[in-house]
Amino acid sequence: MILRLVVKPQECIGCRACEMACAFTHGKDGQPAASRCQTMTVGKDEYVPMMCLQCDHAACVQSCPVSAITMNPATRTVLVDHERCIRCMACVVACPFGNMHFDPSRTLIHKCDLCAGCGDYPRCAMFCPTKCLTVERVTESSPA
Amino acid sequence: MAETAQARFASVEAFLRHAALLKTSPEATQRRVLVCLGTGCMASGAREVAAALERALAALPAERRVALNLCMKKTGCHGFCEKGPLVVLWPEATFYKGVKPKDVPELVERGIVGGEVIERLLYVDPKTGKPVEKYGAIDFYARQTRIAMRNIGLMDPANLDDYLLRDGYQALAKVLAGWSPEQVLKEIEQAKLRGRGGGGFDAGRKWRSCKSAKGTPRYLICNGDEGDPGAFMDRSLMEGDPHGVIEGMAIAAFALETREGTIYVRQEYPLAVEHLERAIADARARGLLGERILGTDFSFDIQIARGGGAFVCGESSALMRSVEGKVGEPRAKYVHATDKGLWDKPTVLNNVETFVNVPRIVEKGAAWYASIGTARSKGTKAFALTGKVKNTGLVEVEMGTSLREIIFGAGGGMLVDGPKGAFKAVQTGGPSGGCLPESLLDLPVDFDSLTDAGSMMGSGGMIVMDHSTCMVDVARYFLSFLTDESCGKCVPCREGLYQMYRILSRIAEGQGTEADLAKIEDLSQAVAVGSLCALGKSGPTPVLSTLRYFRHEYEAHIKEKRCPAGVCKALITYSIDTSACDGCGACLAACASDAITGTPKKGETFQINTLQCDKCGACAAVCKRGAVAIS
Amino acid sequence: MSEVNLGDAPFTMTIDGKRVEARPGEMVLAAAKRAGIAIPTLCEHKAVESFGSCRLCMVEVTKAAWKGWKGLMTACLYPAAPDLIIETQSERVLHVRRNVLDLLLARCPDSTLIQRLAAEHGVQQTSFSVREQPDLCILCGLCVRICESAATSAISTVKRGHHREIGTPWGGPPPACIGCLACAHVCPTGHITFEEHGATRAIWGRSFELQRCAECGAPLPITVEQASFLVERQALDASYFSRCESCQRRATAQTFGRLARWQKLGLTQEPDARQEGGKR
Repeated sequence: MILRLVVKPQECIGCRACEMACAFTHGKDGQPAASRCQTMTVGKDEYVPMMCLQCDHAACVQSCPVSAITMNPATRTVLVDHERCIRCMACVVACPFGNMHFDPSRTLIHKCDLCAGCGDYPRCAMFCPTKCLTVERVTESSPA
Repeated sequence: MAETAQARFASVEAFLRHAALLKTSPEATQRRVLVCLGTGCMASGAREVAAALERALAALPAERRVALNLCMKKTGCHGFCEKGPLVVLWPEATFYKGVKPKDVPELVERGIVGGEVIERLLYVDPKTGKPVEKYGAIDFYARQTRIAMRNIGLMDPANLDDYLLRDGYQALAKVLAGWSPEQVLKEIEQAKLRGRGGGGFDAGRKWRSCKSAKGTPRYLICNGDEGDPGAFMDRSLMEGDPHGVIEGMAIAAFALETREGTIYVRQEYPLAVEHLERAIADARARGLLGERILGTDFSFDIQIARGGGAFVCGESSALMRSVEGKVGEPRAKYVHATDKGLWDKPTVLNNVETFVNVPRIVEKGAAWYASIGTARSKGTKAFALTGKVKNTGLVEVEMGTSLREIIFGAGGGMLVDGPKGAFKAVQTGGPSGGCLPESLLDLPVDFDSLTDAGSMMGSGGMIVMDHSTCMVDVARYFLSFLTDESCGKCVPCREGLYQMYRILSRIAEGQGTEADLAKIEDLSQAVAVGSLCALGKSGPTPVLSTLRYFRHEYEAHIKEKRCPAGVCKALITYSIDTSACDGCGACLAACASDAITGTPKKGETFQINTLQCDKCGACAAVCKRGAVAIS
Repeated sequence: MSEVNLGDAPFTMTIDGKRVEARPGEMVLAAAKRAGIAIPTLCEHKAVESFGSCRLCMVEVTKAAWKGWKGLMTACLYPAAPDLIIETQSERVLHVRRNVLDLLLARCPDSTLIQRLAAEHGVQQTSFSVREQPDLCILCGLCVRICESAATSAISTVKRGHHREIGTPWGGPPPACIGCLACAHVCPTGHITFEEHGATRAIWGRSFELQRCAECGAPLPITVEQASFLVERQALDASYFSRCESCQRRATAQTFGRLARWQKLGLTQEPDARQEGGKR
């Protein structure tokens, strides 16, 4: 089952509920730094929630010297193996969308994993009040 | 001598024809002057002796030379290095020792030309005090059974025809003339040949598991990284019988159906490399190595790898890393080298002595070989006998020979007379071997008996100690060697051996406690099971074996603050026994720390200021009357 | 042990009396970990091959067919096999572990990690002579191994035995170092330290300039040397390591914002999130 997070920026009202949901799901005490999702202001009342796009040929995967970043073929989610990661920051710099993050307080590279292992349903979408973030489930492995 | 740059042997038959012809040639019946140019004899001036002999023989009138039918051979090590330089006349087997260049004219004139025996150059039997003329009559040789070392000293290692005259490459020819690889494997299995490198692993089983492992090519490695202090049997074999090593490897390669072999030679053995290189080139030129050996479908070649200069590189997994050009450090062997060895391919690694035994087994049959030795250890073993024995050198004896027979037979007994010189212990198996006491002198020596006794065969080091040796000091010495030679990869060996050394030092300095004894025993057990490779695992053996057999000496150091052998400096004092002193003053001159006072005069005596005394022992060494007492 | 062809099917073995599933080709340590059985390690890291130097993960291994023979093996290197019976807490195991930790505590008395592990094994203080001028290096070799596999083999172990240390063959700062900090991050005891001030990073006695963002000029978290190394090693375009995270994110957000604006006006299609990575 392929999980796909659909973002419709035109629906975003900049409430940052997604960031809070993410921070509380993935970090202790909801530290904002733990959030893998960031809402960017791009104009007057115009916002874009930014998180990993789960690229098929991801720059982070290509740049990792220890192959710590891989795509789960079943869910098509790009995941970081923290036990393998050596924190060299190559992926953080390489991501063309600025969606790889480093959490200095926990010295961890993190990225949106579509809440793999944390309910397996993106918490941001669950809390999004405007349905700017929604989840699609695709059964057959359709080409992206 | 026939040129080695002759044509390749096109077939097994051509080879056999040549070998047979050689035996009837004038060369085969020549009188030989054998000059040992082994490393030991060379150190005592054999090169000069050889040069002088060459000149003297060349100076003989031509018709005399022809009439004498004479040739001179520079041979490998005879094993009796202590008595070098050695010159042997063959076939009469007259054995001359300690030959100096100035002895050469007499040797040639009277000994060689005149056919007389020069008594003053003969070996004197220490037991009878009488000179012994014949090579084979000397105890040192008479008590040996030489299989691996059978050619050494009796031929020129750089001459292939010399090797052929001694039935060289006959075994390879026999195999190539119609044996199947399986047949060779079976023969080695039935001979029950065990690896001579230390572990004593069944060679046939090793070859078999390599052959049944998945993956090709298979590799063959000869371990010539002999690193044990005092041990030099592999060196002697590589220097003195390089073709024997090559032939053994070629037969193994045939059984394993592999094309590539490597001889890993210790960094410090340049002569071995030289001789091996020459032998490999000669064998290649004559079709005994390389493509289509003796015209058959079997191809095999050997390259030489120079050692990394570290003791640990003799450990098989470290050696293979070193051959691959990596740091020579061991790795865990849960997957055996026979499955994943060199370049992760199935590999057989045996040491030099093991390979040299192979042609003999093929030649004379597995049944013959298996009839020699004990139930579980077949054949012979070469030992490097050193320490406080009369005859030191290389001794090859049948497995199962007792320690007493080796030390008091071939070894000629203890070096020093008197109670101090009596036998105390023998250390076998190299630095990580154990010390065995007098009560075990009748132990038949083989792989298993030594292990059961708390020591090991190792590569065959054998150091004899008398009562002037302190066992705590001995353990400390070996631990200091092992601490230096540990590669440092794993914690128990790196840190554990070092801490054991610290504890032993404390005990030797009189600072030891009974808790130290318990601690070192506990740590020894942990290091012995917890270390990564055999070096670490056997590292505590010197401590464990001395604790087992000489615990009272440790206790004397700890409880009585006394070193019974009078070795550990912190626990001894030097004094002068006035009743024995004749006032010669030798001690006064020898003392470097001005600790001796008195006037050299007959009837006078001297005092040693113990506070000033360095305990270097120089005074005791120079005193002819034994008046310097150690307590 | 000759390699048995186990196929691909998982099998079971026993660890501390518990049935544990293992997969062909994996080591005992990995199988134990998955089953939630903790085995202490110091020289193990997923990014490098197992080394077996710390000897802490030793376990006692046997099989019913081995007639009572039990071997002490390092779990990190011992291949899992059907019907193995493994004990991770036997007296023999704990004896080695206690001694190893005691020895390491004598080597690195100030390491909090070693202190904690030792205390967990009942060793409150070392019973051996403490090293003079101790540091935090336990010589696990992780730094050397990660540098070899993920960077430039700039550092290695030098000298032997008790004098072994991490460094360069001829002493001095490592010429091949690219300042990637992988060594510092895998170091279990925090022995390898580095400093970063502004756009300079200092490690192993060397100083590195950080790569700067082509847009805003801010320093990136990788060095200039590291960027060129990664470009070559990973076979990537140099543009992969040219801009900072925020500039990248801002530019992407603006693109998406623009598309959303058009969408609102019914001008074009929905932005497809699943586009190819790599540089625009």
